[in-house]
Amino acid sequence: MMITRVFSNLIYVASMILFLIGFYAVALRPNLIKKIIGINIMETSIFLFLIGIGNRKGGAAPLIVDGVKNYVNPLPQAVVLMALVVGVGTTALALILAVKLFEREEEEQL
Amino acid sequence: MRKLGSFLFLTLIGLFLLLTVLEMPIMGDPANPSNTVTTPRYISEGARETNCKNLVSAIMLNYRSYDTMGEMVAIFTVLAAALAILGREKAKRGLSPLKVEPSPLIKITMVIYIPFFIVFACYVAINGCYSVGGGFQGGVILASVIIIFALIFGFDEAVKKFPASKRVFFEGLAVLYFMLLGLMSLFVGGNFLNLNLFGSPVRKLFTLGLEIGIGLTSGITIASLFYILKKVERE
Repeated sequence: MMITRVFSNLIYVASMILFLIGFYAVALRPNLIKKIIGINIMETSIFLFLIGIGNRKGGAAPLIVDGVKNYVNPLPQAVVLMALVVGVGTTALALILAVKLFEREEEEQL
Repeated sequence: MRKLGSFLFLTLIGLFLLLTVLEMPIMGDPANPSNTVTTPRYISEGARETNCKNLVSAIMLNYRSYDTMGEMVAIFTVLAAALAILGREKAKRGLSPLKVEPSPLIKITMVIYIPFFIVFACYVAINGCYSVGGGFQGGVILASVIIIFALIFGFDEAVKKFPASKRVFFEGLAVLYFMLLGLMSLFVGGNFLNLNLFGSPVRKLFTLGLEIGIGLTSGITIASLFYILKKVERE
């Protein structure tokens, strides 16, 4: 029972593995750029998870067409769309802070 | 020793996550809670209530337009923080040449393609309610056109063609535009950002305006973030 459930939920397992990879990079790697990449990988895993929750067997994309009754859930897709743009913002801000930090370190070494 | 410790730490977190995955309902089942609570309403009534065939756009611009507004505030805040930390790029008089001059083939191909890219971005943004697409997607395509231009023709050329004085208006417009459109609904007696009380043609116009505004502002904000980050490389 448990095993069949895991096999039908492989996307959740994949998102879990992606989350672990991202967490490893964020928490246990000293390199700042790798930490930022790790944050991005964690974000991606959450997007995959949300899209997986909204899935529906045999569902069409949420664009209303005559004669189609079975659509996937549009709500997680809208949420992920917003999260993508916010993700771009956080990544940009993190990179800019990293740049500032490197500049400061260079000044101190001189 | 440290490697072993971090490995054990990750395994522990992974075990907890795996326990959660085991408890999740089977994916794609129509009886899942995520498919039974609010979604049937969106799917059965969404197209009629919002005049949007694309349900994702319908949710973003009508049912959850507060969230979209908060998101515009978020990217505006990111841009403001970036400008406060690193500052705007400056147009240099003496153009610094590229390290490697790209081949004429790439340049001519891009000159031919860029108008088509821009038309495609406008199509995706304007048609967001009636087909696959939306304001953000169109805006991101617009931003990618600017980024490709800067990568091929050089950063100084891009600064000259699309200077900060042209961008600053659209960057500041983002939040204000959304709030002004939201205030419009107060005049017909509705709540903030409640476009339901307008007639169908006026509402189509408002939705179109929202799509174009979101597209322009998000695209140009992302392009500005690219400019700010690219500036560092030159100095």
